[in-house]
Amino acid sequence: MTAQTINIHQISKFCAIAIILHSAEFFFPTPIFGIKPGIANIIILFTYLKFNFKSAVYVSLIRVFISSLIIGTFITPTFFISLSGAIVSLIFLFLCQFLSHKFFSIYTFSMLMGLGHILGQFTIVRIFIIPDDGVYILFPLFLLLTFIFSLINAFIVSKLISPSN
Amino acid sequence: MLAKRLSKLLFKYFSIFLLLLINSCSNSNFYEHKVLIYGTILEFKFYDTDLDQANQAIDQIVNKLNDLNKKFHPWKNSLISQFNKTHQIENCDQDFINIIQTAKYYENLTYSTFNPAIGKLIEIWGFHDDVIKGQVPNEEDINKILLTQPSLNQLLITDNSISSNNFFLKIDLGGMIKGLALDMAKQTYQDIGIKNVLTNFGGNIYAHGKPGKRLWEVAIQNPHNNKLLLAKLKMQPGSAIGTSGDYEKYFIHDHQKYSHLINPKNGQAFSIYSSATVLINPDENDVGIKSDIFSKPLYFSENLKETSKSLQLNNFFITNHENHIIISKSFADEIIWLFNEGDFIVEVI
Amino acid sequence: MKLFGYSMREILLLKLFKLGDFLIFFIFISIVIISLNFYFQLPKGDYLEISHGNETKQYTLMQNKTLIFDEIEVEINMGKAKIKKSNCSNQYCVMQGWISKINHSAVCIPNLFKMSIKSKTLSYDSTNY
Repeated sequence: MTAQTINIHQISKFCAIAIILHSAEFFFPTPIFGIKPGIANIIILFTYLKFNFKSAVYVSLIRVFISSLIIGTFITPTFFISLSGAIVSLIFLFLCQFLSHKFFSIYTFSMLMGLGHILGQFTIVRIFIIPDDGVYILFPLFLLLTFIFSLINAFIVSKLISPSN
Repeated sequence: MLAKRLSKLLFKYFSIFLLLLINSCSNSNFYEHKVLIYGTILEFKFYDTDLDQANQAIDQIVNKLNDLNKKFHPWKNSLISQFNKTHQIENCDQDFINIIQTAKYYENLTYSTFNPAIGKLIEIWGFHDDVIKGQVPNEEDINKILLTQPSLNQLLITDNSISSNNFFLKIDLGGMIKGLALDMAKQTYQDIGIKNVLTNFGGNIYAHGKPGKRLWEVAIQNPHNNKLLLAKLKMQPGSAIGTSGDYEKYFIHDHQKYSHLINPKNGQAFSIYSSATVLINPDENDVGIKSDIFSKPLYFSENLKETSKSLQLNNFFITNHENHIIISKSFADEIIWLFNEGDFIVEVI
Repeated sequence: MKLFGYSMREILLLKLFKLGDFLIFFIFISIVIISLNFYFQLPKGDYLEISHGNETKQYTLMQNKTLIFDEIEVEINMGKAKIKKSNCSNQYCVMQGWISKINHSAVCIPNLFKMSIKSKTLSYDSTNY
């Protein structure tokens, strides 16, 4: 096997895990309307760290498309919310690459990706789903939860990359 | 490997999963349609209605209104404009006679405070014209007309003709035509079998059925500022609401506002009130016509309690120029005020 | 106090986080606080919508009135409202205190009671004029 085939093999494995996590999240009961931890982000960040940004883009977008087909939300508002969240999140990840690794750890990466995610989602929701400024009432709550979940996600990623644990 | 470690970690650190489930917005069951018909907006909002049926109803109603316009336009090539010139018309059909009889019935019911025979007064005030001239007629002309006490009772009505000897009698059904249109719409919906639709004809609204579990909700415009809302109301299935106000067609002369609503008692074009709103209960007949007509006696009323009692009207309110609202007790319980704090003072009677 | 198995001292010595992370955390929390501030500056509502059991009714806020539902007492005081008394065991609903801003609500789950402040820009089907 060449190095490239190993790479593709690994990426598709990551895709599969991301899809499972994404779909699993969808079917969990929701105590508070419209909130999920974004555990699939763990895989995206992990892919980025293990390979490169391009692979992370593959995994993220393939995950959004395939899992929406599995859940049955393809081409519905939910799908577009996911997609825009994923895209903006990837843009933030791209920008994170330019941060100095001396001062910023994966916690920053995770945090900014989470922020990108909700920004992308809120934009779509505000424009297409609930065209009312009322949606911004939820923004602080989502931001706070993003903070908490990003922290936890980043911690999981850090555990995954350090084999000692 | 990765999957195994990941699932272990997840199990360890996430005790609760929260998830995003932004509901796809519910399918809209509403079909809205607007028609401009002789200068008045006719607005439909159908709920859960077959599109073909809805369009069929709209077509029928528009045809009926065009027909009404041909017969009843007070000054432009219509049967009534012909009568207003010659005071004698023949070859009227049964529907036409029936409508005249209805108008006569309501004129008597309201003791001529709604009077469709004062077209001449409206004309000398300059409202029988596409462009309002804005001149105040002299007192003598008004008195001359008032002396003849124009009334539909002065009409000689046969099976197919109407005539009158009072040459100051001019018929203007402007005060009930919107209501008549709503009642025609109601009839059309019943004929076609349409269950839930809200019809707004020039501000008068008839609520047919209801949209799903909730009721039709209408907002009432602020009579002093058409950009603001005064109140909000839920309409029971089959009810109708109408407002008469001095803000629709008016002119200002010497700091006095003169509106197209003419007091049949003194021939003047102003009132101490700026608007009167009535809600007609669903169990009554002619809900549309009543919602249109009954606001007029209230608008010119000198004693609101007596007037409303004589009309058996429970749900009404009036606003005056000093930002006071006088509202009947039963109506006060249903209405939700939307005006800014301090803009109006509400008094319940 | 420990976070992810690290003591406070270790965290401050940049074992878990790096310096830039603290900056990002700070910015994040600031945005939360600023947006919360924005949230509290929301305009006041116009009327109170109360759902009790299967029934939903609306009340104007511009009045001084005490409404009594079977187990619950609601007080309306010129633009704001609160649940005054309730027979539920933990009294969370009473503790919520006054609500007055758009879309704020107070709930008493044991009694299936919900009241929320609504705005006049809320939907209506047509306008009477």
